[in-house]
Order: sequence, then C-alpha cells, then structure tokens
Amino acid sequence: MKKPVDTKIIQNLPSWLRVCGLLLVVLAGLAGTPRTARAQQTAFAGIVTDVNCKAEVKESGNDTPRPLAVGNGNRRPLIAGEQLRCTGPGSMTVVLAEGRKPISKSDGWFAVQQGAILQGMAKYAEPAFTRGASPDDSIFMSPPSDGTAEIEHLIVRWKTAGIQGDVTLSLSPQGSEHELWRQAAVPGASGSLDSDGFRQVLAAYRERGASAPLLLKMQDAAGKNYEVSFSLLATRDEDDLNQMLTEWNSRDAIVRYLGRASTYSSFGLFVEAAEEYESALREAPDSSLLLQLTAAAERRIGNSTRAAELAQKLDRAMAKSE
Amino acid sequence: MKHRRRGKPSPPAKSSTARRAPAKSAEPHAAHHGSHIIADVLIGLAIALLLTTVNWGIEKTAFGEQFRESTYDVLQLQLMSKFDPANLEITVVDITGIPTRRATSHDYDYTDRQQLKNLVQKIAAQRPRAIGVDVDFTPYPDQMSDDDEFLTYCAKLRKLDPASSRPGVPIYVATFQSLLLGPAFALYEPDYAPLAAYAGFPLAGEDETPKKMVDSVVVHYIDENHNTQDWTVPSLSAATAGVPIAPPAKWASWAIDRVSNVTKEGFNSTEFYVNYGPLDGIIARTIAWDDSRIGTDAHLLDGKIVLIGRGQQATSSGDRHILPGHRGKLFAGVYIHACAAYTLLHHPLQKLTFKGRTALDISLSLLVLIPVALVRWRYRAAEPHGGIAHHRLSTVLTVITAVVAFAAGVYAVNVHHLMWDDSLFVATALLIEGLVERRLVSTVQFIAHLLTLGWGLLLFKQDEGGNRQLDEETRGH
Repeated sequence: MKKPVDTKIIQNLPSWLRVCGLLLVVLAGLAGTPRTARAQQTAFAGIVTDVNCKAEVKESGNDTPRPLAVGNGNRRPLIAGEQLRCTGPGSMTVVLAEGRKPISKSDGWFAVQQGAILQGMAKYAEPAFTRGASPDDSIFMSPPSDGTAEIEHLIVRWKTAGIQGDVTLSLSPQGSEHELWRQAAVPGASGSLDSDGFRQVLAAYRERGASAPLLLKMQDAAGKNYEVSFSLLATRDEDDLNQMLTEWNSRDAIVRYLGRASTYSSFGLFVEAAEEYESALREAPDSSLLLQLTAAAERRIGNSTRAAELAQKLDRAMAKSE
Repeated sequence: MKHRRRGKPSPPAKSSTARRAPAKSAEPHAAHHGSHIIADVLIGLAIALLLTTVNWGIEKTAFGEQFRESTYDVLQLQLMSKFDPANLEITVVDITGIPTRRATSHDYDYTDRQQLKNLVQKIAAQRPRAIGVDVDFTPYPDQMSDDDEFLTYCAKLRKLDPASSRPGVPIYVATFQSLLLGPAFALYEPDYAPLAAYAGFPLAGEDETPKKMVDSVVVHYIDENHNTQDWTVPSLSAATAGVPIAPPAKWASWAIDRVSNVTKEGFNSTEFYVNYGPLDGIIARTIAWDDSRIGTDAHLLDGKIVLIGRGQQATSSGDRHILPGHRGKLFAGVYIHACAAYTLLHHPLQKLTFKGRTALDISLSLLVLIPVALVRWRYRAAEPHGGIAHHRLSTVLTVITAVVAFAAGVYAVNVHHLMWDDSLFVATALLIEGLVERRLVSTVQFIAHLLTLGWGLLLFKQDEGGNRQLDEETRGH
C-alpha cells in the first residue's frame, strides 16, 4: 500500500502545482497497468521431459489440441488444467512432486493437476515475491483484488460474463480453511450481493482484532471457482481517512475529487477511488487526462467494460485533437 | 492462620526473663507453625502451577492471542527504536516501473527479463555482497526462452571472472512450489539450481500476524531412479545474508530457541523470527530501478546486499503483507526478505521454549513465595501472636515481581533480542495469582479446619460412646 499523501504539504502549494503533482502521483501509481483484463488461472503443476513421441497439448479452457513445443533439454513446464498426449510411438515423462509418470499413446489424454504436495506448500506459505501479474484478473470488482474494503459500504460485485446459474459465495481468512461465512443460491447473473450478514461477519472479524487478509470465493453452477483476496480497513485508519477526506472537501470540485481519489487509493480503497474519478470526469467529460485516470481506476477494480468504454472515448478525443 | 491475617508482629518482651520464658514454652509451637509455613509454601506452589496451566489455556483463546500480539507489536517497536541506519547493509531496488510482458498463449504476465537483466548487470558492476531477485522464476511455458537467457547470465555472474580474476557475485532468484520437483527441474535446468532460493512467507493463524521467515527448506524429491532424495534450499534472505543461525549457548538451549522446525508433506522447513525494526529505514532508503546513481555512483551498492523487487508502489502485484508492529499497512515481500536478511546479519531473535516459559513462570511465583516463607520462618516464634504481616509483604513482592517481569521483557528484547511476548501476560497473571492465592489458601485452610473439626467430633463421639459403655459396665458390677 502506498503511503498516504500528506495533505498539509500539498495544500500549501499553488493549486496548479497541486493538480499536476497529484496527477503525476496517480499516474506513477498506475504505471504499467495493462489496458485489458483476462482471467488468470495459471498454477505451476510440473514439467514434462524426455519427450520422445509426437505430442499434443490442450491448454486450460481450450479444447483445440496444439503440438507440444518443448524448450532446451527437451522439457516444458506444465500448468494445472492442461492435457497432454502422445499421438505417435514413443513416450514422454511427466515430473510431478509426487513422482514421475511415463505417458505413451495408449494412455490417451493426461490431465495435469496440481498435486497435494504443491498445494501443501501454498497452504504453508504465501508468495513473498511478484510475477508482475496485473490486478485486474479477478472476476470480482468489489471488494477490489488485493485492495481494501470499507465494511459499511461493501457490496460484493462481480462480472457476470461466463458465470453459469446460481453461485455460492464463501469467506475465509487467507491461508486458513476456517470458513467465516457462506451464502448459497445467489443468482450469478445478478452481478452483486448486498448482504447485511456478510458485513456483520466482516465487522466481527475486524472487531476481534484479526488482521489476516480475507479470501472471498465463488463457485458457479458449472463448478468454476473464482476468488479475490482483500483486506479490511483498520478501525484506526478510518479516522485518518475521514480526516484526510475532510481536508479535501473545501477545494474546487475537480481538485476535491482527485484529492479524495488519491486518498482512497493510498488506503487501498480502489472502488471508492474509481467513484471519485468518475465524479471528476463528470465535471470535465472531455479531459483526456481524466479519461485516462478514470479508465485506469476502473481497470484497477476489474471493471474492464467501463475501462474499455473510456479508452475508446480517449482514443476519439486524441484523434480529434490531432 | 486466623492469627496471621491480623498481620501484626508480636510486641517484644520487656524483661530478659519474660523474653526467655515464652521462648522455651513456645518451642513446640514454633515447630508447629514452621510446618504451617511449609504447608503454605506448598499450597502456594500448587496454586502457582495451577494458575500457570490456566495461563497457558487463556493464551490459546482469542483474548490471549490478542494480548500476546499486542505485546509482540510493542517488542517490535522496541527493536525499531534500537535500529541504527548506519548499520544497514541491505538496499532494496524497487522495480515497480519495469513493465510486464504478456504471455503469448497463456493467461499470465511476467516482469520483462531483458530490463531485469540490464538492471542486474548495472548492480553487479558495483560489486555488491549478494543480489536477491525477488521476482518469481517458477518455470512457465511462455517465458522459457526469456528465463533461460536471464538465468544463464546469472549463473555466469556467480562464477569467477577469468579476465579480471574478480570473484563472482552470489545471485539468487525467487522460487516457490517448483522446488518440490528437485534441483533438476526447480528452475527448469539443473545448471540453474544454485540460483534457487525459497521466497515463501509462512502463513500465520487468522488472529495473528506472520512473525517468522524461512531460513531453509529441505525438499524430499523423487529422482530419476524413483528414490527419495533431500535437497536443502536457502530462503532468499538466508542465501543473500550468507550467515548461518548460531544455536544458543548449550546451557540455555533447553530454554531458548532461535529456530523452529516445520514438517510438511514433501518438505521440512526451518523458521526464525524476523526483526522488523529496520523496515521503515529500508523503505526510506529504497532506490528506484531507473535511479541514475546505480550506473554512476561506484559506492552506492558496493559490498551491500541488494534485493530487487516490486516495492511500496506495487499496489497491484498481489505481494502485500501485514507485518507485526506495523498494522494498518501492507508491505511488499521484498521488504520482508530485507528485514529477514538484516535479522540474520545482526543478532537473530530468540524465543522461550515451552520448558523455558514454564520455568520462568514458576520462578516468578517462587520469587514471591520463597522470600515470604523465609521471613515468616525467621519470625515463626511470633506466629502464635499474630505473626508478621506476610500478606502485605506478599502483595508488595507480587507487584514488584510483576513490574520486574514486564521490564525484563523489554530489557530482554533490547539487549538479548529475546521476544518474551507473554511478559505482560505473566505480569498480569502474577497480580491475579496474588489476589486469588490468598483466597484459595483461606478456602483450603477453612476446608482443612472443617475436616479437622469433623474428625475431632467423630473421635469425641466415639470416645464418649466408649466411656458410656464403661460406666454402664461399672454400674452393673
């Protein structure tokens, strides 16, 4: 999480410098964020080696087989959900944590799964490194992926594309199997859930001083699983947040909205930040900079439809200005 | 016991005769009261043991956990106050600005390897002590060739440069689950195995912040002959620090631990407690990847441990963690590795073992019980006349011991890096124990009196019945 912006220093600056500085901070924070979103379901499962047969692979979610391309050492890493087969004579060896499995033509398709040992390590520890994955891979728009949620206003929102039938939502602390809350038979097509019970569970969790990030899981009627990791705004941060927001309230509309958006972002409240950017954009709908900032903020919370819409508008505005 | 509660010592006798006379006659009484004192000490000890057990039970509850968490936070703040930036040998290079590349046929992104290589090249030229790349190098299909090029360069960097005869730069990259496949596959090629470092951060319970980092992981992998082999992989912090954790002195090893062992299916790990004192200092001294000084200032990274990762600006990486003593904020993993490396380079943190905690809990109770018993023993002759004010003495000693316990907790972390996170709990428990003990002793004594009285009555009745029978027999004759 970024360090909150010191509003006192900012407010002593000339207003044009304030706006420019603010925009630079926001742009720097959003640098490198890709413009499109897609689901990220890549979990390392093993390696295929000694490929001595003509082999094919079906990637996860794609039924079209492709020739298996191996790299140096006649090897290729495997991702959970992929399928492999030998289409001719010979064999290949799949190396998993549980052991090695030779595959030949007679075995047909071999479904690659992440074994219990690999899963065990993920339950033991969380990655303290980065791959540079973008945040907008989650199907959830609220709570924001790896962001913070304010309990009082929290409504669960998700993208409905690809969701089949009713969904079951459940909540547990990250790395724990202890389920804090569960709600079944929620219409997947509704795209949102406004539940007092959910908020009460979150409030109770925060009340007892628990600090581990939470994992909200969703399973649709087809058995597809989605999840989002988020944290709760700490009680002590609430006062700081409110004080910082209040300081922006006396400013001009655009500065106010941008200042509030920056404040929300610094606390990881990306949903609220996006709303503030939208408000700023309503004040100056043709501003290229605001279009860019709002698109980035919407992308940050996974609202790719709105982000794409704003990106198109931005392209048109740029073309017009040229 | 009733006499003692009055709490006043008997007035001294005025004449020498008067002084001597009761002393002679009180000899058996003194012995009797001496046994009372011993009984009180034993009861007190039993109560101390009972309350120590109750303490352990309470510590397992949500309230107890929260109490300990708060104390641990305070101890971490103590460590923070002791941190001297002049002793910081670790620098984080923040690569938030390096763009990611999109995989061609799978749904994932990865940090641009060419940009990463350029950065490592510039850093290596400054002769750092070690380089840790906190970027995931788990093998994935679409980045095979990019990884291959980068890891080949890193493997070369580790070796002695024959042209300049300069020693190689130890460099390690972050790995996670792929380690479980063994050295031949963890980083795709066996030649890259020495670059592998474990970069997982052990999860804590839902009510606690993660306090430990892995020192090393022993992977039990299956080789090509289907035999199980062991492979020890250091964590990113341990690999870059290159300092093993020395065990505590032999005489203290039963009471103090510096590492704990965890056994899981397919691997074992050794963990140690991390000192987050330098966290703010490390963040403040973070260098951006495109900082021009990296290429120009020859002394910027000379002899330092350089950790490369997405830093505080990385709100989007998913690599953000809650840390003890720094609640309300999330921190990137690279800072955890940096603090862990600092911990290993300086004094590793220590924790009390179960035996150590038990001994300390009981010793603190004895610190109150024994002096009171000794004073009572010294003045046992005065017991029949009300004795000394031992309850008052006990209360004063309990309060002093409780304060000493908490102060010792703070002292222990400052001087010995001993994280006695239940010192506040023990101090509170001692005060409660002082209150409860007096009532418990009184209750036990009251029950003992009742039993004695009942037994006496029973004997009396039996005696009375026997006499009556004797009288009747006498009358009959």
